[in-house]
Amino acid sequence: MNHKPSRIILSAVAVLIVAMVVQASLETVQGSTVTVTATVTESVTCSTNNSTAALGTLASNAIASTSGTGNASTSFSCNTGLGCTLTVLDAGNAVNPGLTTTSPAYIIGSASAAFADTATLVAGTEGYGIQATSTNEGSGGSITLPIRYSSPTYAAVGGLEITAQTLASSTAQVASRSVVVSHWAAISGTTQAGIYSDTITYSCTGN
Amino acid sequence: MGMPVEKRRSILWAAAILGLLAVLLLPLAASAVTVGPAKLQISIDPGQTATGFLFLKNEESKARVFYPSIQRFSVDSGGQKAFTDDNATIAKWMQLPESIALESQDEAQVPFTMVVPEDAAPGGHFAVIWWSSSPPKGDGQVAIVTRAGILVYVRVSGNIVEKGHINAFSGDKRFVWSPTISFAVDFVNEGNVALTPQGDLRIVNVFGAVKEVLPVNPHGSIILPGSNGGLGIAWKGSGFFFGLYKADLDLTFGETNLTAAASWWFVVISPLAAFILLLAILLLFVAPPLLRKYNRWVIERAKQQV
Repeated sequence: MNHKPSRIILSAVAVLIVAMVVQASLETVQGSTVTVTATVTESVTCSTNNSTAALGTLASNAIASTSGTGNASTSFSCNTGLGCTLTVLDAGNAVNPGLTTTSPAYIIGSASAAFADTATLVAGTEGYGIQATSTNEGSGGSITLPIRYSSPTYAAVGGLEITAQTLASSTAQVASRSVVVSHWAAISGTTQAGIYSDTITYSCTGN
Repeated sequence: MGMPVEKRRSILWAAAILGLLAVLLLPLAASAVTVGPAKLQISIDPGQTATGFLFLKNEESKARVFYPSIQRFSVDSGGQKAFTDDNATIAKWMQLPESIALESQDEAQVPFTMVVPEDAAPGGHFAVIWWSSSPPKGDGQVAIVTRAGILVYVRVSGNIVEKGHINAFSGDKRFVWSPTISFAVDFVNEGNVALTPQGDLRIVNVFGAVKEVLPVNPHGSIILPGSNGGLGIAWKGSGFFFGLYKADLDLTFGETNLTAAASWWFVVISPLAAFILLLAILLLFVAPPLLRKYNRWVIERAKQQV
């Protein structure tokens, strides 16, 4: 019973000390100004679902093309306010664009034997090119495709070039915007027999 | 003795799931890369060396080796970037690792060194550093390569010429019903270094009061020497607009803070304002004569009744 007053006093002092510490801590937290800084690096992402496109055995009585999962779907992202650009570049034979074979050397020109910018392919006439469409995938700014590559007409292709051509572009940040490219080819009855190949490069840069 | 039916069923299920996964994951395994920064700007003296780091990430679902390649770039007559192989100038100055191996989703800070020779021509030099995984080998006739590029803008000191002007400035419409106009600026870079014209566009009424101020080229579009660059400004006015307005464009560019200015007049005829104006015309010019005529008619009628 005699200890009761001292216990009460000690408890009160303890509570007071704890309260002061908590108060001081709170003041410290409230009084401190924490400056948070963060840097987001401007970056560009380029991604293609396929590493090859197979047109199969070409015949003069048909137009060959890729479709579905055989198409090249390229998606690009950039977090720069100026947007970004996707270009397409053809290796061809280093002089002209097209599907090439080496023994003997022959080229199925893109988009036509005369290397026109565009062509509507028909069976029996040499031609090679691509058709591109944008999808609803991704977010951010919208992308635009040039008319050259985005014709909705069957077999109307845009010619590839040995210099980079714009395939799609944005004027603002985009995330995973996609362009699906189908590859088309047609040959004539006099097209040189052989194994044809080509390399198409899809490149992404900021604007 | 045959395999138990349940075990066989489990194996078939496992095979089916693996097959499905393979089908789902195959498209992810082609080619994907992220690079940064999107743009690299370096000011340097001849004979100096610059060093830094580039960002590279393997976005693919498996380990890849990435290879750099450097090309010079310029702008063609259509305003598009033209990339060309040129090992004589800027491409030769850049030193990068021959390759970088990265596990799936791994990223790296890649060191680079740029050694500018003593005899480097003063002015702007422009390159792109491409990063791509090794060229694919497959059964298809058409091999597909995917790459992402870092644009490099180098300014070598010396006889620098900063010169440019506004070639054209206009809006898409001279008369508008609502205050919405897309302005276009065509800026010509006549110097030997890249320029980034920036400034503001002020919408001013006939009394000289500034109604709105819009930033021009806030993201810093770069215009290369000897080329034209288009700058777009979309304006959608907030508040009441009616009458004649002037769009005043003021640009600043270059390290010497050169300026260029241009103006364009336009007229806003908002439907509400047009209605109020029509009403005012009616009240001021049409209503009084009618009222007078009516008064005369009332007086005449009253006289006749008397």
